[in-house]
Amino acid sequence: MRMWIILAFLLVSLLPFPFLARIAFNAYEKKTSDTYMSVMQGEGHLLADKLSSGYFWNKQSEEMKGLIDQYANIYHARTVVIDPSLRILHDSYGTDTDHIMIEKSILRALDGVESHKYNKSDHSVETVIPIYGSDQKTINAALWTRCSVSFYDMIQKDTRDFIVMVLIAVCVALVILAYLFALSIVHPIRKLGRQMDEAAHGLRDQEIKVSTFNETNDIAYAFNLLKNRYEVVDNSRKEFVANVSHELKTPITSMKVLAESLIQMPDAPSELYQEFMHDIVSQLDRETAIIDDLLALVKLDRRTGTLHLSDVNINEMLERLIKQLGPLAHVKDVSVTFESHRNVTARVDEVKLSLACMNVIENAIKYNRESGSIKISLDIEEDYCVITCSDTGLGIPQEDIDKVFERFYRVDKSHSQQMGGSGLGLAIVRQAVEMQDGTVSIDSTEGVGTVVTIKVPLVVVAGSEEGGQM
Amino acid sequence: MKKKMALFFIIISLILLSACTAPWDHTESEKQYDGYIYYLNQDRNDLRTKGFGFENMKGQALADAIADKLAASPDDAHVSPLPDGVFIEKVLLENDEVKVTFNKLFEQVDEREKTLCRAAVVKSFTQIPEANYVSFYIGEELMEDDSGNAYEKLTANDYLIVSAKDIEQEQILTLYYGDQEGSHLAKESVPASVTVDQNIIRIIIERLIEGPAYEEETSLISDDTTLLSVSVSDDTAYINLSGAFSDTASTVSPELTVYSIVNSVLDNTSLKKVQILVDGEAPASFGGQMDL
Repeated sequence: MRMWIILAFLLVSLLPFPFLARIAFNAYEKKTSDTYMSVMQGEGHLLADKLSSGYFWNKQSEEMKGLIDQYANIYHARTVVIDPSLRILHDSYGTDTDHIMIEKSILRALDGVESHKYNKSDHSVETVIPIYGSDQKTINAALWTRCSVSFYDMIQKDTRDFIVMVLIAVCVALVILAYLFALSIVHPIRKLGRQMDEAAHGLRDQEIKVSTFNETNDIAYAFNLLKNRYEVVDNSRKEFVANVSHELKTPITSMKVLAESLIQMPDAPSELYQEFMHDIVSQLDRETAIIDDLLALVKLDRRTGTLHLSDVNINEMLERLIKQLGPLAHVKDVSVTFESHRNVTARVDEVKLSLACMNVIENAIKYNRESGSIKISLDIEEDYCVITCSDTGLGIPQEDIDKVFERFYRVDKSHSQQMGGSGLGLAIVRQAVEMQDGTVSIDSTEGVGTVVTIKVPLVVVAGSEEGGQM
Repeated sequence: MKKKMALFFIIISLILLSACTAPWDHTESEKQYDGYIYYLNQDRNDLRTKGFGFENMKGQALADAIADKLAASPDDAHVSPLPDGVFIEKVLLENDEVKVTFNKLFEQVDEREKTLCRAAVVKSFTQIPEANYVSFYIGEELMEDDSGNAYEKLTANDYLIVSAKDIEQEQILTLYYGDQEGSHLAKESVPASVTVDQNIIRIIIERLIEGPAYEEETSLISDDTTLLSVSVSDDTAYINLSGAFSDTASTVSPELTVYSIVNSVLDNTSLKKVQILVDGEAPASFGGQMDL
């Protein structure tokens, strides 16, 4: 990764260089040529003005030639004076005097139009200026100057070399910078990786933290969340196993006590044996119930459980359940009323839903007062089928309401033996309902009663994605 | 994924490299022709060249062909230099002279047009290898200017065409090198392409320093010498050479060296005197100015 960052950095930083260099050179060339050209223009005019005065305008005049030669030497320019018939009166190079010189700018100057141009191809500046007679009207000659800006080429060469050196220095600096930059990015990431690795191998207990960048911070934070969730899951698994062991052991311990007592009493009457056997059997029943519930819970796990959907008449289902639990209610003299606001048919998993409702109603009976009452109602709200079960029971303290859904949770732990059951009832209800995309909620006041509300979609769609918990 | 990135980087580097060609380089390509015909530009105030091939023609036949080309305007940018109504009656190649006869209408043409026309004609006909001179006739008589001077034996050098600089204008320079023993001067005709910018004196000195092309001749100026500057004033050329000039081999007589420089310069220019300077100062051992 470091290599790519370095290369990318260098690429981006060096990419503009050739273009910038080209632009810089062009600008430099333009600047120098413009400067040179304006100098030549100015000086050319001065010379032309001098030559137009009567004193100098003598074709054989040595002073005129001297003036022109001097000008040519100062500016390293070839200076030529051409008469109207295109004949060269004087050539500062001394080579073409008396020859005919033809160029359109010369012809135009002889007509009074001066011109200046820069030839990019050979870096030369050319100016042609008309030389007027003393009456300022007739044109006596044209003054043609051309100078090669070649020593600007030399300067350019020096500048070029200088620029190249600077470029190289900058390149080196950039490479170093690129490396440092890459390091600064890669280092925190590596640190993060290392810490994650340690945490994954269990070598690290605290949270990981790399706060160099927001991104690494976020990743560390997310990792910590995941780690905590894992730990929570891990812990809850441990707790679950501990709870299960405990719950499973309790009946076994009771049974052992009963059996050992019998062994201790070899002369016990057969009625005592009968009594103890009954107790042992009821403990076994309890054990079986616990194990059945555990198995049911496993089946209700979203990952391993499957929904068997069918169109179910909820009214009929509830009436059946109430009938089934009739005897239990009768024992405690609890009255059960069923209020159906409308006929509801829903596409649900009948087995699971009836299991949930059964558990809820059973709880309502179990935790009720003597001669208390239960009201079960059925209704539709938006797209949901709503079943409520309210009782006049012990109620649940506020702080325990959320916890009652946890496995093996009992509000009043001391009475778990008396109450019977596995402590898994509400856990089963929640799993069963949530598996069908439904919700279950509890409202309760201690000493007054409890209302359990189950909401299930009218049409359950199989294969929802959320994973359950173990 | 890694391979794609590598490819991407390679491509980018290549693009960078191509952009890296020095921004100060200018390369030009030129096509070589056997010769060039000089035409007028569209505005009739400048001369333009158009290349052509000799196609194995020689002598009079070539001259006739050139005359034909001059009479025509090949395209809008290249107009025949012959003014309206003017045509070449006759062209005669005699040894190294081309005699061109115009019709009488030429006399009535504007002076400037005449000058441009003559320039184009001379420059075009001197492309013939053996032709060095062009003479103009109207009818049987030589063409004359207002002062009575005849337009006779004009050479290509008589006309300086500035805008034709991109085709190399070949001049023949007369240079003086040392002979085999280094005791006498050997005269040589050296072709050199001189553009308008270049100072012919500079080229002459540089060629002398470089040495002769022939093995029988020797260079009289040491190779390490550099030409510092050249300036002209009052028909005198001031040639400033570097100090290495004084270290010319002892077998060569210093007088001969000076003569070679002076003669070479004066033969090829219209100057009258040459002053040699070494590192800006007139050297005592070589004496002062010399003229022919």
